[in-house]
Amino acid sequence: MTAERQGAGARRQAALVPILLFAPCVLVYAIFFIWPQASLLAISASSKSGPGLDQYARFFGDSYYWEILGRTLGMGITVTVITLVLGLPTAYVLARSQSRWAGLLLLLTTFPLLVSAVVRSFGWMVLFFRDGLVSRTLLALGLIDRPVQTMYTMTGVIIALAQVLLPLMVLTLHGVFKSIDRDLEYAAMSLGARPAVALGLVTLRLARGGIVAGSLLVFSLAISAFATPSLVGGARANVMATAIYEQTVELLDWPFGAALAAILLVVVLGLSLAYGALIEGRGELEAPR
Amino acid sequence: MQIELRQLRKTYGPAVAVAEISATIAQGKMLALLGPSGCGKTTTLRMVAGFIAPSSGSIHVGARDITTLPAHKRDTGLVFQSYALFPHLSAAENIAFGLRRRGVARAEREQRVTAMLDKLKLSGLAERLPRQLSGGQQQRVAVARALVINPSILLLDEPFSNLDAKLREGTGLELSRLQRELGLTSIFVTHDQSEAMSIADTIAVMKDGVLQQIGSASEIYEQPANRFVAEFIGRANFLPGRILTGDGRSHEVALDAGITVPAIASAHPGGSSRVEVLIRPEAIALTETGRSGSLMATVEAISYQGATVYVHARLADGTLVTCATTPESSRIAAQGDAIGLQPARTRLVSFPI
Amino acid sequence: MTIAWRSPLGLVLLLLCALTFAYLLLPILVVVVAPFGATGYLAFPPQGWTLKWYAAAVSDTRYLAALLVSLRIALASAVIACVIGIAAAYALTRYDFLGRRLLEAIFLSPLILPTLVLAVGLTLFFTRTGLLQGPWRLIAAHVIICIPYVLRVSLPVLRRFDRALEEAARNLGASPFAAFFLVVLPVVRPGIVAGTVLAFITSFDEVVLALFLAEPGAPTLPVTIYSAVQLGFEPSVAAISGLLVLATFAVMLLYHLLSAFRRQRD
Repeated sequence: MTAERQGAGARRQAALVPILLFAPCVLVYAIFFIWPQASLLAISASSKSGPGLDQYARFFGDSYYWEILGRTLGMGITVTVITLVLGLPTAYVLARSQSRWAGLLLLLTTFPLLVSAVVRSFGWMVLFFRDGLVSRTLLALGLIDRPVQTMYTMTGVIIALAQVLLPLMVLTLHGVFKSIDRDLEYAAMSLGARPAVALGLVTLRLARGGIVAGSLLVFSLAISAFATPSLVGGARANVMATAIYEQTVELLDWPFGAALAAILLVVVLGLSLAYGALIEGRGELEAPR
Repeated sequence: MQIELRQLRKTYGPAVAVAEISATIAQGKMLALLGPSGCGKTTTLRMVAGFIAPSSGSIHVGARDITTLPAHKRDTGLVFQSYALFPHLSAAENIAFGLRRRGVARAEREQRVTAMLDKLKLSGLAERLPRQLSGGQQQRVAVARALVINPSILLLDEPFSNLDAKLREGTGLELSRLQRELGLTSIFVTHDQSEAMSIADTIAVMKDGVLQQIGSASEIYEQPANRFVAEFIGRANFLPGRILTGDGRSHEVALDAGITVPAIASAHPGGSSRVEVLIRPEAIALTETGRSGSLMATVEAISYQGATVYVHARLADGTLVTCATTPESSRIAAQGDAIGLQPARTRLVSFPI
Repeated sequence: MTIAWRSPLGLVLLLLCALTFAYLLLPILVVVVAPFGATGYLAFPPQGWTLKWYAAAVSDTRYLAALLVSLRIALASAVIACVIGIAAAYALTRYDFLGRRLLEAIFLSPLILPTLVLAVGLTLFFTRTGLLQGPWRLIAAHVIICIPYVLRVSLPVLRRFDRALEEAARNLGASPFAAFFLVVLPVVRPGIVAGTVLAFITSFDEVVLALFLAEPGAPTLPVTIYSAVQLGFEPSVAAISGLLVLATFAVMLLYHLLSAFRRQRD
């Protein structure tokens, strides 16, 4: 009986260990993550006279804000397409190359991720001004007949933002391609498929899940980016993130800023739930590792 | 020290991993827990090691009840299936790990580690990391690490399953010699019946968490408690029949195939007169056809294994029977031949259907 | 390789690949090279040759002060995130219980949440509650975005960890505590180091939370650069950015050389 009681005590003690291990993380998240985000939602759903959806009515009732939302989503889609067009071939070449440079190139891909988005956007600003490299190259190529200003335009924001997010796309797709057995491609070719067909029918098809997952990731990061649109786009490129900043820091209209933030949050959360469902629903092969 | 398992039981919710196993292993003896995967043998071993708390029952080592003792206070040497060598420590540091935990002074520690390295023919490899050792060397480091602490009992979890077939037998005999030399009471988990029979003093056959039979290798082979044990240990032919005469211990059985043989009743005889008779392949002799007391069969395939030749023959009712014979005796049979099969008059066991 | 790189399809792929690298590295190259130009404004390719802007950047005390603030905050955030994150990661891989996957998803969620939304929520929260003072507000925010990185790197390493090693340690007489420090930590150390480095860089580079939550008198380096870039186009801002790029590159190179060296030694 003593043994039994001792056993129960030891078991109770053992059950305490995971609770103690989780406690700091749960506490930090509860105080600095869940609570602030919950009160943000609460504030966004308040009007001067108590709870109400006034802020949301203001947003959805004004075509100006619809325009901002549309511009943001359009920017997200364009950026995603650019990163896909460049990211797919790059990730494929890096995954299939047997050169010893492939590892180094992959490392070089991660490098921009380690440099602050502020610094990278700054580099683009130098290139985008009227007498910058972009304008002069286009002039030299005869594509334009007088200098253009890419700075403070939506085009500039998209070019810069796609560069900021491209490494994430390449890394995601690289993992997916690596996990696809190259023997499958050989098998398709041995059955008579031309390389391009084998690539389309086998590799891209198997990578479909990873491609969608990478696209959702880039899209949600693009529509929530702040530093690049604010620096490269200025006032001209008004997107959700810059509008939130303007409402809160500059106009001090925190309830409305909170409502804008909540709308952005819902879009991103919806996308990430889709992303999660996608990874859950498909085999491991297609999920990025 | 003697190990005693008393009505040891482990359940996970409604799932029964081990349903009441009781066994006593005398000082210096080795018990093999034998069974297919998922039979509860590893769970039993892990309960003894202290990694799993039993749902009920108790474990005694010597006079001490260790059921609730935490794993690190149990003083058991355990050799893992994967060896579980610490990848960041050298062979010598791996072996010294348990001594350090026990606060053995440096000089004595080094002396004991060196002695153990010598004993297991590992001297010269002391500074190697596990990944720089071959599979056989890793296995010996794992054994050295378990033995150096002078454990009161030794536990072996499929220690040979990662070795190739050639290394396996030599390593097994070597380990068995060490265990006898040190007089260590041991439990050895395996799914390989020949491994269990060659090393262990006692074999416990398990299936679905239930202990089927416990006994010496010859007891289990010659008098299996049930069909499962008979089929799991060695090759077995079963021929159905009907009891003619006899008491509870032994009887005459008229096989449906047409002859009458004497058989010993299994440990759990049923009430009915219908039985199945276990005839081991080596208990069947090949004869020419028509000899009295023999069964008529057609040779289907002959499998030559060197010392033994297996002749697979089909009876008139379609039953396939395997006979083990010597290369000389097998010469009278060729594929497609009609042949006589003569069961031995001893060593047959009947099981109720 | 399955595709002949010299075939038309292979050449198109290689060309797009080359374009990607040019695109990825061009703006970074610009901030390093442009400040060498002798013109009073930033131009690429630079005209003339001078070290004056780099010298100006190094001697500017604003940047030095901001750098120290950034380093302090990144170090504190990375260490706190590492300790908290590893404890949670260990428990996530070690114990199975109802809601484990949900908990893991919540812990990882700051990774995909817009930082700006996080920043707005935290600013409101700190103003209303008056909780934490000085640099700790920003550190708390950075801990939240750093923990997911620590988890992302350490979870796979811990999942791959062979539980038998821990049991072997226990079997040889190590208490659960000793087994964790003597066996688990040393074996998964590369994952922990990588996670902490990643957390440090994340905090060091982060600008949005810092814009909202940094102490008014002590902005971080990215905030300082952000404000300077918005105000004007001084070559010295490019020079400090260039230095940052070079330092990051050196750290990355060092890290990989060290791990390559360690692999070789083993």
